Amino acid sequence: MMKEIGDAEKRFEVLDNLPLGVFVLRQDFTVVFWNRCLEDWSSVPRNKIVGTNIESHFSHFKDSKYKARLQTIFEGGLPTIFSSQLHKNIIPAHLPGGKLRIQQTTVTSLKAGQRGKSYALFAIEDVTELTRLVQDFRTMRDQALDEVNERKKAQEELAAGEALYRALTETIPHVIWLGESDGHVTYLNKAYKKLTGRSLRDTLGFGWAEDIHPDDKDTVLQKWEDAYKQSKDYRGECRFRAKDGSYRTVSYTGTPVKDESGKVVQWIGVNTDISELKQAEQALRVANDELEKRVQERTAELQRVNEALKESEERYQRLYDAAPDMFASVDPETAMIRQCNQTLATNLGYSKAEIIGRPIFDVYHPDCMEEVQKAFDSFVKTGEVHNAELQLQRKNGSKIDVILNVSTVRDEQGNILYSSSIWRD
Amino acid sequence: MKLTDEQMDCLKKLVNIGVGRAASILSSMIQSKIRLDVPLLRIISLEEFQEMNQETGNDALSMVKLSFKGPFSGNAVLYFPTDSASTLVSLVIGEEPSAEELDFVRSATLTEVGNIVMNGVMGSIGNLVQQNLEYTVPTYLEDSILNLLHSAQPTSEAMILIAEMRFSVESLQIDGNIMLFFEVGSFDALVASVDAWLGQHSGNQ
Repeated sequence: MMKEIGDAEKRFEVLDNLPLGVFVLRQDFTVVFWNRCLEDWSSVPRNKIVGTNIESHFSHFKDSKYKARLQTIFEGGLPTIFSSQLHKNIIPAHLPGGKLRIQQTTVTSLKAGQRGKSYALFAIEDVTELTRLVQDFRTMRDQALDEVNERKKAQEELAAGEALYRALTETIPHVIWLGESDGHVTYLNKAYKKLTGRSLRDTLGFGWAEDIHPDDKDTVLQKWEDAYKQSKDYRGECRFRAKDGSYRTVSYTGTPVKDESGKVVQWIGVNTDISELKQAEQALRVANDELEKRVQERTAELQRVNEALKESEERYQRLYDAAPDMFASVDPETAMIRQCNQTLATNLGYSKAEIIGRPIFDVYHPDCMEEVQKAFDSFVKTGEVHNAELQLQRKNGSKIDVILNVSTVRDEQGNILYSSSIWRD
Repeated sequence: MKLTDEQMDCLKKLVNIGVGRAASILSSMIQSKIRLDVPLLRIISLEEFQEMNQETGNDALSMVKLSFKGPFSGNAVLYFPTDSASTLVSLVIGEEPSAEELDFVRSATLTEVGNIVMNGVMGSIGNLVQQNLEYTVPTYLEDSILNLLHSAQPTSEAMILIAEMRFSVESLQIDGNIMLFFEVGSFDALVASVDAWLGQHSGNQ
């Protein structure tokens, strides 16, 4: 036994230099070699284990699953593998942190010598680090897969949302466009082709600028450039050439879409054909102007009429005042003089203001008061007086013989509105 | 080379004994009854093998390979379609397969499972001869069957023994194949050993 162990030590000495845990078992499970690496890993020194049964140190070797498989080794059979996954710790060995080393073991058959039976050479590899890496990798891969799935889901949702927006933008009657951060248009909805008749291929990028009226183009491009430099909205109106060659007035807007950091990532805009609106506006303006003109004309005419009227009134007043007969208008109820002409005032030696507002009786001479009363009664009764011979009294008391005639103007109900008295000298 | 029914039966029996032993070891490891059957055993030429694998020959497979040397020499390969291998590994380590590819842990596990199966089969066949065969340590690889064949560089006279296997655990079935490439002359040695074995055991039958 001692000789065998001595021989084995000499024979396997070289295995002390390997970074593997190596030990050799005899068919009766006696340990005949235990290398330095194993001493270190297991804290079991070589002199304590060599020559003893491995089962007294590591009882799991009693297990039939080891026995049956090792048996073929002792008979010179095939190498046997105890993988890390199924046999993590064939010789329990602690890492500095207290955890067990994960081990992968290969057992091969070695000729023991003349006896015919073989030894089992155990080579134990520490695969802790490798296992940890694999586990890290798995975790990473699972995370990556999760992320990929999440992104895929988000993309699908986005695509569904995008499809909805696309459908929406394709059906509305306004031109919708999307541009990259530098303004290159990457999307135009169908409304654009409907307006200009030009294909997407020709109008994407800055191809749309060719559709703008030459007189408007510079303004639009300048507005865009200013907006681009300041990352701000822009809007305006310009004329686009329609597919029939006519120009349509279009209102346009562009709005920058910014990311969280405020950087412009996209431009979005809406163009609306406002030609009809413009035409309606124009028609309204024309109608309005026409109306204005007519009102002015009418006002002028009215003014002319007024002036003519005023003129004729003045003329009449002049005639009235300058007439050789004396005129006055008398209120039938109060007998007050409401109006008189200058002839009356002059003949009586009063101013017009002194006469107006006086009772009519005041202008008569007291000698003919009876006749005056008669004439007034007749006036009140019939509204008329015919050739009454009366005397007026001047301011200085002298008499004027006159003939009075009175006529009246009545309303529809027959009430006397005013009267017109004429005295003839 | 055509084998007699008797010779074929003998080989079948040997392979079955081998997989039976492997099944019992695997059962004790996964604490669940695992059955290993060999529904079909074939001996074919290299040409026939290439013809057989014309369609699926370039599919990626999970393989455990080892070489043997002695009275007869060659390579033994246990191979599974990758997804079958994944299922088998998951079954053994009790974890759901998460991806089609087999990483290090899976390859190590599959190497051990393949090692157990091939130990059973090769041990059984090795028992035919009095001398021990020498074996290399089994290694795991993923490749196509035609690439494997190419790397093994068998000569056109090489014979191939294919045993189709079925792992059954509860309701689950996993199909795999074990394939032995014999070097020139080695197959004759195997047949000679079979005949000798038959001669020895004929009294018992």
